[in-house]
Amino acid sequence: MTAALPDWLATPATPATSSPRRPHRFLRRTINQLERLLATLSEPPTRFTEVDPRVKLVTALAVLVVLALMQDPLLLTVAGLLACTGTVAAGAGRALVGIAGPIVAMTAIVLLPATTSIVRPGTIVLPLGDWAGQPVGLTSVGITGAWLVLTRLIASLAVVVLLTRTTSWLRLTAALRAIGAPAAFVLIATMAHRYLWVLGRGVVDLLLARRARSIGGATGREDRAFVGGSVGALYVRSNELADQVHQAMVARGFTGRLADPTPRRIRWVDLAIGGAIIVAALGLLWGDIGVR
Amino acid sequence: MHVPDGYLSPETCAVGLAIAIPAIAVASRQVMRQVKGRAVPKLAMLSAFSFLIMMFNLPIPDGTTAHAVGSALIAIVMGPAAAVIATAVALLFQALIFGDGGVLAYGVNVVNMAIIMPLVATVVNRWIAGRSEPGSVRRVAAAAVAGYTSILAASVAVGVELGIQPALFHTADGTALYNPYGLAATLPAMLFAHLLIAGPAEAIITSAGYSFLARTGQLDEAAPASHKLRSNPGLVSLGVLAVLALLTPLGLIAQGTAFGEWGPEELVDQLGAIPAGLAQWSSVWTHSILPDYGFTSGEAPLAAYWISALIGSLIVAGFTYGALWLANRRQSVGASA
Repeated sequence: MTAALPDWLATPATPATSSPRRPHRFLRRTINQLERLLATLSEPPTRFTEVDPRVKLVTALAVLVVLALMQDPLLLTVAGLLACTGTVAAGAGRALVGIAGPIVAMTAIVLLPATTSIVRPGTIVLPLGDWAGQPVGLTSVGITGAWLVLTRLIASLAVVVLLTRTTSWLRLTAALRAIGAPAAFVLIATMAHRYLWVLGRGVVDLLLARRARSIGGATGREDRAFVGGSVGALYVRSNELADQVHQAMVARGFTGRLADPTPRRIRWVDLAIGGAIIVAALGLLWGDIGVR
Repeated sequence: MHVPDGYLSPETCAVGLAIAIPAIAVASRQVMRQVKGRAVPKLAMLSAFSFLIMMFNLPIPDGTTAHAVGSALIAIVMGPAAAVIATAVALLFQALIFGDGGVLAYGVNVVNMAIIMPLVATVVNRWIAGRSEPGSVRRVAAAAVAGYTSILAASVAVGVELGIQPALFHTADGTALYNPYGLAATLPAMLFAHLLIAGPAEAIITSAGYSFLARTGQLDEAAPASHKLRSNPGLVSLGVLAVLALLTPLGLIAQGTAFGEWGPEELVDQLGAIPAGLAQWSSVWTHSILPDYGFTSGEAPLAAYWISALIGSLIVAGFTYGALWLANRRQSVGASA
């Protein structure tokens, strides 16, 4: 008895032809993105949650403005390192890498041509060769400009991650309201965040069901029709949910008037922490202005 | 499309916020009136919807995937005011939770994606759809063109905002302090990406979404988009103001004086003499608050130019708002009589 395959099984009678149907790569990608989104929304804040969110928000905004005003590459690098250190100390280092990694990589690629004499002419510090009879290389103004954008971007992202990973969305929106954001806008943002998870879960179920039903793949046209239909279905679902939520709100006594929660008193220690950070940032800015 | 922090100067971000905040306030009031008690949950759901639309990866004909903004679809189905709020809240999530788009640049991103896009989509959709039947081929085509043109308009705005940075904000040795690429690079780059990739994605999402809603009878035809736009002069004025304010810094790059706007000194240089009438009347009023769009001391020319532009734009917008308000009032009085 032999284990060899019979000829009819080993050699196909007709060669396989390429099919225009392709696997749902976009489905996998969208499902992965949505799963990551739902995981991020479910993450509890890390450390420093006891610091008043209003102080954190105002401090973060002040630091962002200072970062935008700074022009010295060395001092901006120091500011970026301090911001990243603070984020890591708050236990949000992984979140920073996850959020900032792709953005910084993309920015670096986009800024690469701007370091050359073709885009930013100036003193060439690293010759790369000749092009159309002209010497081409990396210029000091190009490198400095790109470094400024890159470090400012990293520092700004670190500040935002530090703020949002140490403060729950509910407290963050309350802080937004405390600094003067319109009540309706803040309430809408708070509710939208709450129901984003519900709608997002629904979309994941929708996409998983589609993926399970279409093993053989689909044409691009079918895929596009499906995405359009899914967007429409999502709209219908959000409308229905809005009606249900409104009925629940009315049942609980909502009359359309928006009331702010009673704000908690700000502790002296919170003010001291926020003040110290702002003073440090202003010190860096003062040094930056001094070296210009 | 989402501009992160670091690419734009604080001055540009401040102008963006100065436009975005009143626009959001006007749109909130408008939507509260439209949907009355249901406004809060409705807008919250629309915001979540807007955010989730941006998560959809769409297969486009060149074999790659792209994602749409969704602002045009909401504007066509729910009106531009609802689209402004929904997209602005979605952008807030993206900036704060996912680092997609800057916090300081939030105002600029709102102007691009939550103000320019819905307004352009509404106008284009209304223009092409005309009085055709809801769900007709013409309406679906209008939605597609509206989605495509609206994202193109937003991409041009982004290109201008980024492109003016190196000319306006640089050190003495020429180092660009923010985005290093000029208009000659940013405009083609933005247009190329949006003409070929993001534009088709937005057109597909807008038309397919609209088609689905029309087929399943989910469109709220009781309040067509055209009526919503006409009855909201504040939002239209703010859209005009946004475009004006965004484009004004271009004047700083231009050299020389506009044709026919020469001052006495320039005429002396060109003609060798000042016409008698001009000499008499040009000295009648010399107490301008911002002469030649600058402070009398000549300091901070950039800030002075922007302040002049903002004041001028606000005056024009105020007159536009007043005229439209008067026109609407007369119409309603005539209708009730």
